[in-house]
Amino acid sequence: MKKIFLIIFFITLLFADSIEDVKAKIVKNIAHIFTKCKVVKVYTDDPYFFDIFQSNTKIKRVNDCKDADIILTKNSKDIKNICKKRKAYIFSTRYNDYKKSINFDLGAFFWQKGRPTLLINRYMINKMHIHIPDSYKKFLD
Amino acid sequence: MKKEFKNPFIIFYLLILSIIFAITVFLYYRSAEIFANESKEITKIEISHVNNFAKNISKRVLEIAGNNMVQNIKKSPNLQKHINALLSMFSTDQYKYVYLIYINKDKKFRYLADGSKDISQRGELNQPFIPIANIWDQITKTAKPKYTIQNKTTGLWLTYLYPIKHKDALKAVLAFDISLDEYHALVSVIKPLKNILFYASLFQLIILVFSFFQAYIYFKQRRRTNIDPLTHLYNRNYLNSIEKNIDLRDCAIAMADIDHFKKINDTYGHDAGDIVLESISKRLLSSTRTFDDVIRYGGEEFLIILRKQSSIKNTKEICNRILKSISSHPIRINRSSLNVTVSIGVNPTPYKDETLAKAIKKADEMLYVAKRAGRNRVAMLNEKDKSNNILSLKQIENAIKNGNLKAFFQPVIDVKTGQISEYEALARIIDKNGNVYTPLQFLPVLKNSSLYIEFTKSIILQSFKKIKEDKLYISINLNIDDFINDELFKQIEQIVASNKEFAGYLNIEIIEESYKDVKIEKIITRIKKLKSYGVKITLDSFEGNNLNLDYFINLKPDYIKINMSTVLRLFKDEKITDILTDIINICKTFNIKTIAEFVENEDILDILKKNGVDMAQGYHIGKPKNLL
Repeated sequence: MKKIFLIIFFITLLFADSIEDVKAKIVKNIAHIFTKCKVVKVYTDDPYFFDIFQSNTKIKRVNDCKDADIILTKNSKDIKNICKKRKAYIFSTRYNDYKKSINFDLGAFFWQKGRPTLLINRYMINKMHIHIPDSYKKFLD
Repeated sequence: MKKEFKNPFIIFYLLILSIIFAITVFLYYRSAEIFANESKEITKIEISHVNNFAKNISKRVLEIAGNNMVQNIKKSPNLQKHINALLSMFSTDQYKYVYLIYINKDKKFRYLADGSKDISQRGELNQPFIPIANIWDQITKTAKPKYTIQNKTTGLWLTYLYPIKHKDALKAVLAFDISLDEYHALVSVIKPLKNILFYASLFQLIILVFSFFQAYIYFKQRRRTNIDPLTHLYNRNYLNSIEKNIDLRDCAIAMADIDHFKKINDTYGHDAGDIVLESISKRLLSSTRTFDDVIRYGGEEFLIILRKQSSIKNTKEICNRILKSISSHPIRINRSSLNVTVSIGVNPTPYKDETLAKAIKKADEMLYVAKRAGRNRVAMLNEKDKSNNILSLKQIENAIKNGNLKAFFQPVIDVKTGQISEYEALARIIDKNGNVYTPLQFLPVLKNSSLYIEFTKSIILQSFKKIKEDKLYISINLNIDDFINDELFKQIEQIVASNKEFAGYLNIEIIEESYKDVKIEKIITRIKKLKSYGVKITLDSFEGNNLNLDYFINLKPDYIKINMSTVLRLFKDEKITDILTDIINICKTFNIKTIAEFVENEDILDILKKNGVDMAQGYHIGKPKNLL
């Protein structure tokens, strides 16, 4: 059942109008796992995700990581240093970077081989006592 | 309108265009089907190719990495590099990503090796691989090759999975992601055909829509040109357009005319006249069949082309049905009801005539016969009824040449004394068998021919002959139109002039259905010219039908003739009786004598005496006889 959900989840997203829409919807869905804000503030330094804010009104781009609820970064360590005081959820947009930041990244979200890849860091979820819906447990790494 | 206009050429053109369009659309949709089938074929071919590669690669990987390949690769970075290099050899623009995935103990997919050309797209050893398509689960269960068509947003056409097995145990899965560009390259051969068909369909659709629009405009315009706007019947333009297509062998021609229409217009106004025309038109349509043509031929004249006529009886039934439908229900005009009738002349055998125009002319002549016979009736050409046995022009010509055109004389008496005061000359033709034909049987044919002058001259000459012989007062009938005909009037004047000492015995009765206003001055001048010789003048049918005061005042007629059949009808209505009495009194005031005709019995004669009518004629008094 979970597998079916997983397939439907991505296929539905993939059949959306464009890659921008797919990216925006995934980001919105991830964000709503961790925050209950209606409009999620997202900081990103990865140009690949700059276009997700155009098509979705539920996610708002912020220019300072200190103001963000979710951070999408290709350089987690630097961001962690800049935004120490802020308890934002960091998602790496590179698998390499995620591996290096496994102690503080909540997960990774990147595009590889034309497909979206979502990873949720089990260690951090346990550490932060975050409840993950069953349908997302497949992404736990 | 009962029928729509048809133009076989336009209909054929639109039909052909529609068929071509339908074929093109069919081919377009068929091409989509062909395209889909071809795509399947191309996919099969592609899979066949990639399967061959996969088979060889898997064989080589097993040779290099050994049966325990996952552990061996994990342990040896060099081996991993080697395998990556091997895979990258097959990674091309066509095979965009070639990679090796294994399933760990948690049943999760992880990268084992990746030979993708684009380094940034390469997965690292043990990196989680998130499968989207369910073929990944299927291959783990079946350990058989699988493929899936990818969504276009991935930039991929299809993904092919090949199981690497050792002794039936699945060791890893070799994945090929094939580029969408490859697919586009393959289908580019078929796509232009589809595009051509699409644009051809679109072009034809535009042409078709434009043609239909043009046809609509054409038919609308044609309808406007061929339809009388008041009655919505066909008009003469339509008749001209169908003339060549009418098969005279299976149709009958009927000419209908509304009785006393001028009187309706004069009495109730032209708006009422229009209502009558509309109402009559509707009744004509409802009494005829869908394939008959009803045409407004003139002002109040309607031409009916009765198609598919199997017998004369059938034609007459239709015409009687028309008569009944019109006369049985009065026409409502504002708050009044008007009893309207029509007269119908029928040519049931138009095929005997050379052209439609000649056939119509004969029907028109029969209409005249119906009118003269008392209106509200059907007169059929060639009907066995003797009164309707019309002579041909040739027969009339022979009769005049051979002296068989005779003036019969009907006595006119002085009502007070009962003595014959004059005779009315009435034309008759006697054939070789002794059959006598009345003007109703030859005048309609004769009227518009060149023989008419000869005919008129003959009757006047015979009348003068009788005058000279017996010193009798004789009246002859001339139509008001005869005074417009220059040649005819010249002949009449010559005869009168050459017999001027007897001109005082001649009485000219001027007859006409309507005393037309046209050229009234010319007519009055010419009549006065004849009067100057001493000729007497009678205005015929003066009982109110077509009274024209110009004639009454300017001509100062010697006699006024009253049709007694009309008079008798009028006598039943006291108000009209009063008016008639007044007319008789006016005539007396102007010293004009009144003559009543169609006196059929003694009762009528008594009425005439009581009302002071001066003279009378009719079958009760004396039938027309050949006195010469």
